[in-house]
Amino acid sequence: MATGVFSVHAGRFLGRIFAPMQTIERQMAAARKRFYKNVSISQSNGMYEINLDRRKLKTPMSRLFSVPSEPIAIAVATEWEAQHKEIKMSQMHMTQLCNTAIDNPSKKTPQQIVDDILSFLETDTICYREESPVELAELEEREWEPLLDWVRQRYDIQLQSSTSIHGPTIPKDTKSTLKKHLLHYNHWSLVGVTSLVETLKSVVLSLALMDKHLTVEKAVALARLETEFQIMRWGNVEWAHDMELTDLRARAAASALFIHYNSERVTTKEKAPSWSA
Amino acid sequence: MKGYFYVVSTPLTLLDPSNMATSMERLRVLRGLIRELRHVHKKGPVKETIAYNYLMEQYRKHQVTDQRVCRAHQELQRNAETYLCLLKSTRLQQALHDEYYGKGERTTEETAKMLGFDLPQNPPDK
Repeated sequence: MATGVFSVHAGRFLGRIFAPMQTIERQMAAARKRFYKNVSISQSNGMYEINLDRRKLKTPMSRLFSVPSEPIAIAVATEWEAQHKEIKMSQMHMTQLCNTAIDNPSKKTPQQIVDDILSFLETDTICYREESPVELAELEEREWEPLLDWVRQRYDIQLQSSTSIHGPTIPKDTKSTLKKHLLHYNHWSLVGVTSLVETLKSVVLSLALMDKHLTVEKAVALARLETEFQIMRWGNVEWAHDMELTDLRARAAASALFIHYNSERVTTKEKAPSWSA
Repeated sequence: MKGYFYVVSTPLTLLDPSNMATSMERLRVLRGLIRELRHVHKKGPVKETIAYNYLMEQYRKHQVTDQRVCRAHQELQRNAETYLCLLKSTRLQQALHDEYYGKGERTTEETAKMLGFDLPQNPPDK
């Protein structure tokens, strides 16, 4: 029972990306003990690899673990450094995002990935409104409507919220505009976007976070608005609410950083000395 | 704590009052990151972590600029905040998991107490 609830939950989440049985088996199996002393990073052809003592880290599908971004490699190395006695893969979000990007186990094309992401729009948290209790409906209006205004303006799209059980109807133009935008992101970034949208259950919140319009904490708070409302009324239950909160924050933060470092262009340039010819 | 004091000696441009809030914020996040990295690397000084050296390099790099609030500053700050959130939330998640799900079977009494209940007191048999 010790690993029970949490591991199965993580298993179901990863079930979208990996074969479900494989994941649950891995979670339920005896945890691997930390078998390495030192973690280091090495560079090869502009890519970064992780070394555990002398061994090179590999992905679940036995490919060489190799990432194009130094900050991401450092974050991954830090995750491996942070494992004390047992290796807790379920807490190693950066590592898992990289594994998914490298292995691409679902074998999806960027178009398919973007279509999957945008299919979340029909049940986007921000668009799916409650009618009662009245206080909740008002809270949602107050907190979520500005996000809708922002996304409409930023992407020049039409998007309405709905209180119907069927959710909002998403205009075709809206989807095609957002699709064009998302297809500018490379495969690695799209892996991060998928993870972010699945964590926040909202395309709108994900776009706002990616565009630095929201912080991670704020985005997660907005994603959990109804839960927060219930907590205010009925009290906080640490072993459920706080666990969900820290889990969402960790996943969203990892996804946001992953997207950023996979899609940034170098903007800082060295200042040329004034005497250069 | 030596590394921390190095960062505090900021160039004069950054001591401009209109930037005070930003400098304070930057320090708060950096301090938080160092604290988290200490948890990562319990067995030795935090300077031995890979992340520490990278972070210090980034903070130093973005101090040596004569632009007041440039985009690189804001980007570093935002990324640092996000990374701090990642480290802290991961650690707290693990701690919560160990506390509530990592202790094996609890006795009936312990479980009841967790939910805020008391077990009924059975009267002693006569």
